[in-house]
Formats: sequence, structure tokens, C-alpha cells
Amino acid sequence: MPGDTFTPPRQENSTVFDDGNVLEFRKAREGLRPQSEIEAERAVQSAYDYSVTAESERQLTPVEYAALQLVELHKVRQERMVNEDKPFLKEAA
Amino acid sequence: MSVFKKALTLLIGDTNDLSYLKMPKNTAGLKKLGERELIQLESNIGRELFGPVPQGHRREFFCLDEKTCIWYEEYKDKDGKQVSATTRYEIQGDKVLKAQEGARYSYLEGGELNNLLTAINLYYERVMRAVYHRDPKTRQPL
Repeated sequence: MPGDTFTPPRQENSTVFDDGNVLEFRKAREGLRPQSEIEAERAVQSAYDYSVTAESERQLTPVEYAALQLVELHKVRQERMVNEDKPFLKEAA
Repeated sequence: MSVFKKALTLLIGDTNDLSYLKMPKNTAGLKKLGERELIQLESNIGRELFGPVPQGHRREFFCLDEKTCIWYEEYKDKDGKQVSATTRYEIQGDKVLKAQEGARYSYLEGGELNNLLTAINLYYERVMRAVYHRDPKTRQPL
């Protein structure tokens, strides 16, 4: 007879496993966001970071600004180079 | 025969010549340079910032580290004697110390300070683009 066995209502957006865990499809789909959306979000964040940096650079004196440029250059150079001894630089200095 | 080689033979057949699996060494785009070579590349740009180098002169201008720039000039005087001068510019907070041979030290002022700051600015812009292929403003790869 109807009602002898309980049948849970069908849920479109989730499923219940035997161990009680619930998988919510809607949330899982949100996790799988398109790459273009993720990249657009990163671009916005990068533009924001750049504007913050630019704003802070405007507060610098000309000498401090030059110092910042040297720091940036040095950083980029370190990224590019392989380690080697530099005795000739000590002589030059 | 190793397990790996057996598996490879099953997959691709002949395993006698596997040279094509090796990574190429030092391809132009991936080549890493030492600090000496990078500074030389930077100096090729730096020496041109102050106008053409006179005939018989050798000039170098480069950023040595985060706080120091080096100017080196070498030439022969009227008597044919080799003359060389090294000047070190060191950024100290909001000042620039100029150090020359013979323990001569002074802080840059006025036009000389402005000229050096302009040179550093140009050096940064050009070196970032030409040597490191970065946008000088955003520091992102071009």
C-alpha cells in the first residue's frame, strides 16, 4: 500500500549517499567556473594591485623613485641570472 | 632489459635511438645568462644614455646592485697615457653619495643630481624593455 515505505522526495540539486554525505550539484557546478571568468577576475585584481603601487610611487621623492627602480631592476636581473661568482664586480666597486 | 625499456619497446617499437627524447640544451629563448653578461648587456644601453662615446674612449654605465650605479670611463690623454676613472653613485635614503678614486666623497646636488636621476630613469625604462622584455610600468612580461 502507498505509505508502507518511505520514499524521500526527489531533489534536483542534490543526492544523498548511504553514508549520509550530500553532494550538492549546484555548488559543484559553481566550483567549475569557466577559465575566462577566472582570468577576468585575475586581470581586475592585477589592475587594482598596479593602481595601488602606482599611487604609492607617486608619494616618493625623485631619489626614492630612482632607488625603487634600481631595486626592481636588481630583482629582475636576479630572476634571469644563474649563480656565479662576481669578483670583477668587487673590483669595480 | 629494464622494465622501462620493455614498456617503451612495446609502445614505440625501436628503442635503439632515443636521442629525440632528450631536451635540447641552451636553446636561444631559454638561455640563462650570468650576472656578468647581464650587466654587460645593461651597460651597452647605459653607456649610450649620455650621448655618443668619443672616439678612443671606453665608457660603461650600469646598475651594480639595488643601491649602486657605476660610471667607468677610460681613454688616452694627450701624451698617449691610459687614463681611467671609476665613479660610484650610492643611494642613501633621500640622498646620492658620489664616490671617486682618491677617497673623494660628496653628495650630489642641483643639476648633477637631476642628470643622474634622469639617467637612472632612462636606464630603467630601456633595460627593462630591451634586456628583460618587461613593461617598465607594470613589470609584466611584454
